[in-house]
Amino acid sequence: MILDSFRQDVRVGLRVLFKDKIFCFLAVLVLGLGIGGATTQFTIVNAIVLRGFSFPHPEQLMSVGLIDPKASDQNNNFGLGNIPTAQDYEDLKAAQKSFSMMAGYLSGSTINVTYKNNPQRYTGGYVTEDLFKIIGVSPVIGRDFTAADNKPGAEKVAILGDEIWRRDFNADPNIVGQGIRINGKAATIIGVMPPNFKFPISEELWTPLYNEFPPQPRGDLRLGASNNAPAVMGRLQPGVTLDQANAEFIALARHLAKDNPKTNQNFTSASVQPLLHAFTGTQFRQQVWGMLAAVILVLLIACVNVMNMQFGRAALRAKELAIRGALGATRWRLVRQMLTESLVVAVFGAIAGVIIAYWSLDFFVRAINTLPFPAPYYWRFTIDGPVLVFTVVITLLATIASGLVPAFLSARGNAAEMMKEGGRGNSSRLVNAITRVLVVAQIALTAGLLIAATLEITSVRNQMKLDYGYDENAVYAARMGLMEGAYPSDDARREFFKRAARGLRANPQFESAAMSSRFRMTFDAQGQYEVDGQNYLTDRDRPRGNFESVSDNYFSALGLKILEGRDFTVDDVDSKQPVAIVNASFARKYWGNQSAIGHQLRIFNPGQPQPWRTIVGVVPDMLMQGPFDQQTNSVGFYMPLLGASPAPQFLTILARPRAGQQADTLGPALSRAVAEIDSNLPTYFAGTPGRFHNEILSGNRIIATLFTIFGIVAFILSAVGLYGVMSFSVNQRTQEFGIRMALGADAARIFRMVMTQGAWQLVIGLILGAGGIALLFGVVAAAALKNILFKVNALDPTIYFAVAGMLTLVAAISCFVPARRATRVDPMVALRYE
Amino acid sequence: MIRLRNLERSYPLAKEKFFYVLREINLDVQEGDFISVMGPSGAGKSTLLHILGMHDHGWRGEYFLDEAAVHHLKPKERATLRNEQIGFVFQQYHLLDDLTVYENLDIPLSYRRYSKSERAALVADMLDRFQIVGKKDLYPRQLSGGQQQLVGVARAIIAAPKLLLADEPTGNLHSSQGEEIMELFRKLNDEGMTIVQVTHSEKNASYGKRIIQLRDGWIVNK
Ligand SMILES: Nc1ncnc2c1ncn2[C@@H]1O[C@H](COP(=O)(O)OP(=O)(O)OP(=O)(O)O)[C@@H](O)[C@H]1O
Ligand SMILES: [Mg+2]
Repeated sequence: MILDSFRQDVRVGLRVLFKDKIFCFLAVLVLGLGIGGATTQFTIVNAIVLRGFSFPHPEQLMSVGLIDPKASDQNNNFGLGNIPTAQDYEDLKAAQKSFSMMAGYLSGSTINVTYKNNPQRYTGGYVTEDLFKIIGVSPVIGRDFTAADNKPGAEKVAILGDEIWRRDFNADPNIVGQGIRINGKAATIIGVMPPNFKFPISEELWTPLYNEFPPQPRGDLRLGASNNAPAVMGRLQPGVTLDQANAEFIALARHLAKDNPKTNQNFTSASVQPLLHAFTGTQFRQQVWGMLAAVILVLLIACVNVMNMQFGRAALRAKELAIRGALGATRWRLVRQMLTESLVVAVFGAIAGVIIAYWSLDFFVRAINTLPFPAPYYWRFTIDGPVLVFTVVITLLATIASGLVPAFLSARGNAAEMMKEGGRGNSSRLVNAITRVLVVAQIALTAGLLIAATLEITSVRNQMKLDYGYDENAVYAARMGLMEGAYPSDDARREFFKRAARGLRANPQFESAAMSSRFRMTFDAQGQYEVDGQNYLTDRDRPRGNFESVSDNYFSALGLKILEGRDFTVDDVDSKQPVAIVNASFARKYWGNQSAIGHQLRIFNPGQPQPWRTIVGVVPDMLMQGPFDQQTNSVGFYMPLLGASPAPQFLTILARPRAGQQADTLGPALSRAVAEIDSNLPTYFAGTPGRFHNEILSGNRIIATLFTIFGIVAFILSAVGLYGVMSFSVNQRTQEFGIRMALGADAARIFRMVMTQGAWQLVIGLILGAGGIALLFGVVAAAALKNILFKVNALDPTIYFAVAGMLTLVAAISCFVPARRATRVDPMVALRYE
Repeated sequence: MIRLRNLERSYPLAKEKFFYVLREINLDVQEGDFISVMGPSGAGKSTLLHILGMHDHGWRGEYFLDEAAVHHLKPKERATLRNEQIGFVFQQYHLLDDLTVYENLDIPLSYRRYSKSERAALVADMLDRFQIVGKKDLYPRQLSGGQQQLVGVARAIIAAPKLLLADEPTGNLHSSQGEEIMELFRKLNDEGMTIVQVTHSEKNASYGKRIIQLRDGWIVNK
């Protein structure tokens, strides 16, 4: 019975909707945007937070850390804790009973591999022998690690990821047993992992932890000394709860702190948490959920819009419903018919929404892939079963949200009332008020979103237009890491630097070459320093600045001139006479028009006092902290890289091409040149600084793009919303307009009446929205939020006026059509309305 | 005052066929006249009145109001003329539900060139004259039908029209209330206002000076 009438309702619904094309188009568009947005965001939530690992019983996998209750959240790794030393991992593992298995790992590490004379750098993991066993994944070729492999001094072994096995090892089925060099030492490949496995984050190669970093005995350890302490995970015994595990590890932590005060006295507590939480921090997870909430809010707004349109149609159909009622339809029957129509619209909206979601996820994945830092491998942004269930649920909810109230209220009027009041009851007055308030709220939200988006886009544009102080596209840079195995001592590394400098400069392809500590030619160190002749009362009085270690010829390689004094030389060695070069801002700040040469400065580090450095030169300003830093001013100084002690392990080499050659073509020449110096040393992160800066900004570009998309969607929704409300109200007031015209109102006056009503909603919405954002940025969260903005005034009036202008335009257009319709009311028809 | 010559009104029926509601209407109304239009339902009485009231523009023929040739005027000029000369009383009163009696009376003034103080004075006058001062802050639904129509008449004449058109002004009223309205009309007519009313009742028609019979769109006798 019900099914029968449902089918009939669907048929009638389709016919009615087809007749009402504008409504149909707008409603499907609006719901499509809302459902599409929610589906996209839920896919992201599903990939990052819900789906998790595909291992057997992933819910048993936990991360373990020791906690210093007195330290900040940040120092406690956002509540996850740290393992202070490798020895703590061993002691915990021996004493605990909650886990059936435990493993330690260092993830995202640089591992240098030479295979068939081809050096390569990989993102790899140093792992204890149980890492793969604990998650229940085994190599598809060869064997897993054993405890013996992990012993310091054992023969070095490695397991390859599927992707690099195919790409760099020719998918050789006989790969097991072949020799490679890892970080300068001979090693053997023992296995290959299955496809799509990059555990724990995006690692492509694994080698035993203790074999590379032998754990030091307790007696040799100091508090805070880095000992390549691993991150730790465990698999819960069946039947053991998270709380029980936490209780056990907190007790163990207390024991460790008491027994080993030298290393552990501060770590008196512990934290056991689901492993997934360790990889996606609490904050990040909250952000992802928060965005889902925001998108659902947008969906709700979409529903409200469709609801408004339904009200408008219901007012027009009052007569039809009254007649149906008079002919015997129950109220429930009428509600069902109207709801069925809403459902038909929502289903079309859902289809459009899923298409939009596919499209936007494609965009999102492509954006993620341009990020310089790889995303965890288990994030797979696909629309799967759970996502579709979610979509179906929100579609049904959208049907009810957008259709129930209009259906209910319009089915209420009986025939007699309809005759008496011309289809308007007191309920419609209430509905009127509600819809207007909602539209105001929506305009406020849109105004806020658009202002935030404009600020963010302006920020990103400012970041892209930055002047780094040198031509970023005129040099080529690459990173390399000198590993313990190949370069065990400071002297060995210094020796390499000198050889490299000589070799590169002798190369006919390069006009000049230099080295720097700057990571990807973007970030470097920052901290407090002291200048001679200044008195500092407290630690906090010491100024902050940027510093960088560079080789000789660094400035000339970047195309800069020494302004005063001299460049570094190979003879500038910290152990003989520590020197420094300052930039122009530094010199001007402390010595004004006088010379900075001969003055002294040093890095402030109370734990490990640094030597005073004599200033030997002044160079032009450069941006030393990439495109993000806006707090520190441009004050900075340079120290000699080749004479530093200890000699750095990781550094960036720079080459400038001969005149007439493009810098971005230097890649092969540079890796060949490095191979001539050390054939086992791979270079990575290669490219022009211009490219690095561009990549570094891609995250911000994604955010700006998302903001723009949200802004546009909100824009469309508020336009449609305003249109819906005005349309509704004009339809309702047809008779009123007719009477007013009969009493002498001309078209212009009627037009003004409708436009004024829209204008009020707009003005209130704008004031609320702009005021809200201004309050947010200007007062409430100034410090926190200003970091998001880059050289943009959060209260820039031009941005506020531009957004207000844009919204006014759209509001004017969306009110224009209903207002025009109001002026076209034929008084004859209105007056005859009985 | 009014001169109609060969006035016709038709609605398209099917392809190239027309349904004539008014045919060859020739009518003269003198200044100070009080005419009652009568006829069976569907005869075209309301149609005629709405044409006279310049709500309807889809007619053919000649319509002179005083010196103005309405059939030559543009819609805007017609609106101006109507605002200056004509008041209209509706069978269903057509007061605006969301406005008080006072505000309803003020509407026509707000659409014409009156200053704020003039408007207040005129509305106050009208409230006095119709003895509805006590009701000025009530909404239409709080009034009886007769009181509503009283407000409707007051609203029609507040801008001092020379011509008052009324389409069955007493159709929805008890006879005693109807009489009250008719007395009012007679008084207005005595003061010099020209009135054209549509009515079904012989009694109401007798208040007028002249009766026009409409049948199937034709004027049958004078
Ligand atoms: N929009 C229209 N389309 C077609 N025919 C119409 C339209 N409006 C009115 N008519 C027709 O015009 C004719 C005259 O209508 P009108 O309202 O003038 O009659 P009336 O004399 O006022 O009748 P009543 O006494 O019932 O009020 C009717 O037959 C009606 O069907
Ligand atoms: Mg009539």
